[in-house]
Amino acid sequence: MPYAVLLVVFVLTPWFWFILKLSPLILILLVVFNFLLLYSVIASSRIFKNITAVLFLVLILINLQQGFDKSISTLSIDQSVSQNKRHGYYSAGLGKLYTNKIALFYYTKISRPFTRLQQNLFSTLDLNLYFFGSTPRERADVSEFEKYSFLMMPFFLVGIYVVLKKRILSPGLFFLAAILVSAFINENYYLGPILFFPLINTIITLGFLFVTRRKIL
Amino acid sequence: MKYQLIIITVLALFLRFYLLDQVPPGLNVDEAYQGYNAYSLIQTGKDHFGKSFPLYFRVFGTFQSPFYTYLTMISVYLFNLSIFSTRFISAAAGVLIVILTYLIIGQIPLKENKKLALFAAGMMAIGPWAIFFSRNAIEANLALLILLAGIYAFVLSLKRPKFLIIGSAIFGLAPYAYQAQRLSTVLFIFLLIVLFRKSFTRKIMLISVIVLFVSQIPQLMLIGTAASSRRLDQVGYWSNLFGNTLQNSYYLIRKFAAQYTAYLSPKNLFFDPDPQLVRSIPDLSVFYSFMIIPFLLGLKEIFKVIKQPVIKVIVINGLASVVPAALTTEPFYTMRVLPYLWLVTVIIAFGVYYLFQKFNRINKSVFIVIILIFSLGLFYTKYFILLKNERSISYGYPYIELAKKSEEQKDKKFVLDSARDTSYILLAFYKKIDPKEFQKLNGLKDSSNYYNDINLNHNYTIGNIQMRGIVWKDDTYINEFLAGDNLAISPIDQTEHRLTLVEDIQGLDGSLGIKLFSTNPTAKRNPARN
Repeated sequence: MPYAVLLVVFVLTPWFWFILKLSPLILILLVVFNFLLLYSVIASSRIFKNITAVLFLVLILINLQQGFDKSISTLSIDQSVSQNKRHGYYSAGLGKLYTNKIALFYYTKISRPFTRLQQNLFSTLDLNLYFFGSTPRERADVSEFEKYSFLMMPFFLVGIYVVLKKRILSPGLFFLAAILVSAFINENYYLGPILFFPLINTIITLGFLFVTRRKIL
Repeated sequence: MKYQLIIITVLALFLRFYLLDQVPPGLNVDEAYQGYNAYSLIQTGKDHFGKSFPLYFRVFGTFQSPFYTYLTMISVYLFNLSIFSTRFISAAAGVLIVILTYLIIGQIPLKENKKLALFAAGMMAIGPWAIFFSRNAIEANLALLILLAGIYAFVLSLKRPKFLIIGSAIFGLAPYAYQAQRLSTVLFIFLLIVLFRKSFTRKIMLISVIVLFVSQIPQLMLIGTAASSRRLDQVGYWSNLFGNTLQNSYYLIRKFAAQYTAYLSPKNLFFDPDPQLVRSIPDLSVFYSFMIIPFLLGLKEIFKVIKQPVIKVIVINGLASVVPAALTTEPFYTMRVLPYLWLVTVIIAFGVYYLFQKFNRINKSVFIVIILIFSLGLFYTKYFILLKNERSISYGYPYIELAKKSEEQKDKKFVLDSARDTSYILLAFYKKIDPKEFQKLNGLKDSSNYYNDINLNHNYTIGNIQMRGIVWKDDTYINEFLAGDNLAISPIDQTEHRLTLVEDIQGLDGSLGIKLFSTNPTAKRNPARN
């Protein structure tokens, strides 16, 4: 039953068809990983958990190889102008607190990459990105697309509740890893934040099973 | 505990009142309406349009809730009309909110509830949204104070039921404090009745409902007028879609769900600021990004005690407050959801307190010092430095300068182009125009239609400044000043009409504000000589 539900989730998910169209090979990897993940959650098998982790690592490497954000430490012309202006404001407003070597090093070398990493990371922590094609806050430089029907969101929320209540560790750990990796992935990566695809599918499946009173663990 | 609460209150006072008249640099239009209407009421007993003590204040094409304006009469009376006196009520409300947070969270029957309450008060004191909205003359912050006072009375009523009547009276005030409260308070009270109906006797419930109903009579009398519905018509996306096709119903549900979910999004809460410039701080969202960690821990902690009545009340209040905001078109409009942001702050406090307990005595102090330094350092740089410089145009800073110029040249006429400009109230405010004179020149001809008249007037006379479209064939032949932005007076106009640039009034960041020109009638009449 759980695998049939997962299959239905795939079919009903616009994101599935989107990845299929653009990169069938990655989709196959994601689907295999997804089934393994669900199996490892339900069966609690240590060997399968390890295989799942290895496959997730492969997915991370592919994602990093294809979508690494090269603009983390570079500045556009607008950003450069803004940084110079702000340099003036900070100098005037903070005095020696700013015009010392450490603060200047932080501002010119660290601050920008740190902000960019945060921007990439937080862009994936957005329910609207997955269930509403980023409506109502579409991003200016990103081509947004529908990933899940918003009707699946209640199952996703119930699924999170199930994961927390039953202390199902593996999706949580994969989620954490995906969030950290996403800091280095350009938010305009053409397939979207694909590491979350199998995790969200699994959670929606768990939510559906819980709502329909099917035994999960 | 008292000692720590005093320190937190002093910190809250400092963060809300420090340079209140200088940062933000100027006023937004809504703030200016609050201040000038209060000034006008003190001087004449009428608002700036000439209506005696209105129930809703007519502003540019819409209506403002009255409570803030009436309270501002006190501060304007005490400190005269100024940016400080206009923002005073909101800043004071911000400090009282910190104290009320302590009192409400202190009612949760937990082992160390007073310590938790201190953390909640502390988080409120340093929360970016809480400081930001306390430093703007907005109704929403006062409405939050009223709502929290009502919640506190309600929480007390769970032990002493008579407090429910006081709570009802306080809740009854909330809809007069802020438009969004008209819907969320009703929803909140309905949910409270459903959940806690067995906690009170019928008599107490009946009296409370009567008190609540009586308090709503004034605004019920305005139902059907523009004052009652105009704001909803302006910001809602649903009014013209009701009762239509299935497709529309799907669209409505999806739209509502998307808008509601946007307020739950960690991206919006911890990273992306509110898109409106006058409602946000540059590069800082409503919470510091590092607060996502205590937020997640706090969620886990609050779920453990979710069945506690106090927790139920604050969670319901927070979630209900998002409903009106989700029914409007603007994405992530933070000002409409302050009770929800308050709830998130409490959740963060649960998380911070959880972390705090994990440390030994010395590390606990270090932990608090690090949070304080990090939070306040970030706030100072983003708010007192970046916002001050980069948002001065949004806060109408150039109008302060224009008002000064016009006062220096009192005998000269100024014409300010009004094609895109709605800022007459800023000039009336900064020039402290006598309200009697303002009402005489610009007031409504017929105030009997006050609550329905939403027609916009684009022509105003504010002392020696006329706000209207520039009439090139007339104005350039008179010795006067012409003012406007680059679109109103282009470089071609300048050459063609022989205008002399007197001053380029810029924002603090050097961005374009208002250009002030003097006319040159002689040169205009005799172009061949030049």
